[in-house]
Amino acid sequence: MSFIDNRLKPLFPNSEFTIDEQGIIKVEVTVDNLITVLTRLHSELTFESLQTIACADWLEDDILHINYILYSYTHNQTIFVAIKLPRELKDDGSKRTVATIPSVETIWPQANPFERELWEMFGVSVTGHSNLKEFFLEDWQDIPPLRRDFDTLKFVNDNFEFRPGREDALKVSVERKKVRERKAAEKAAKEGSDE
Amino acid sequence: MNDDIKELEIDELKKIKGQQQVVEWAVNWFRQQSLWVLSYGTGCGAIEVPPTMTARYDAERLGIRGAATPRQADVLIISGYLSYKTLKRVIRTYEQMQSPKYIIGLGSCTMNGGMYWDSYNTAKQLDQYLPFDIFVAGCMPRPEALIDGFMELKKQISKGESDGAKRYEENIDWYKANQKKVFGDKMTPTYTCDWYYGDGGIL
Repeated sequence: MSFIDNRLKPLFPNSEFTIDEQGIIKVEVTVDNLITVLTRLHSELTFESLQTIACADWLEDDILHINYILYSYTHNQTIFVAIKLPRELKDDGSKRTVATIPSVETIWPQANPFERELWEMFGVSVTGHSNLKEFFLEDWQDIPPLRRDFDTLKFVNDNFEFRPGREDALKVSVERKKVRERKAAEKAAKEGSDE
Repeated sequence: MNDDIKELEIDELKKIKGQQQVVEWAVNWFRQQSLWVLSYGTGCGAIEVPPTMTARYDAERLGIRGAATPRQADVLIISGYLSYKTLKRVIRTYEQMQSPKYIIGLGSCTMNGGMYWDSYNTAKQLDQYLPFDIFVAGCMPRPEALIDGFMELKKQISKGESDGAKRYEENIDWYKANQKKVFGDKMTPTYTCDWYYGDGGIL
């Protein structure tokens, strides 16, 4: 609590900071303020490390909840900086969001792959990124696969052929029970003969 | 008169065939004594390979050792699931290996997708794209199971039944058609496999 009062409040008097039972500080900012807040946290409060950028897709609230997880080795303190982004996609077929986030690559170089993944998996538009191309997927034509309106099961059934089942079509649970009973009987017979 | 000549020829043929079979038997026996495994892990099964090779299970006592590059290796272990991005690389690696070459599929994912059966980016039936000699079931199989798979492969080789590379050569059109179905225009380069089509290809 003292960290918030002594260090964070003087810098950001208008922001609301909360702290949970594990000592993690959380704050929510707007997309416009994001670069300002992150730059000040990095340079003035020595949050040297960007651990990851996490994203959750809240389909019901129609937002993407993006968390910048920062860690300071000086203060041994973690802080989550959250932004909320509208999740609607562009009309032009690019399958990326209308709203954009600025790249933080200039502050932390390791943001490069994190933002590339956001762009690829959630369809978040990123501006100012140096190397925005496909990371895990190749030739992906559908909507980004980690968005919750992407129907994985339908996609799999449409695109893949599954191996047909065994011809004898035995029920595994029944067969397993038979094998267990047989083994138990063998064991009992063996113990009987030993005695 | 004619019948005598014919009999003589058949006898000669029988003799030569017998010698070839002896040579083949000897070659197979030597092959199964030394298997060089490419050190290449694709999925989570790669974690089972180091204990198999090192002091704990010591596969070297059975003549199984690691090789650094595909051109020096005999066995390729597909250790787990393959995404399509990796599948492309694996196909190139396999085509670069020198014959005799064998593939072991480790884990359920190589047979039917395993626990990734509903994943959007992993290949489900890998034997459509590559010729497998042995499948080891389990998720994950223990190193004992992997060694058991190796022993089975050795038995196959000594009998001359391991014909993965031969199947790949004979059905190259079928395999390439399946690969083209998932890769589309971005197929792997042909220079690692075009000699399958030429008449001077030595396998």
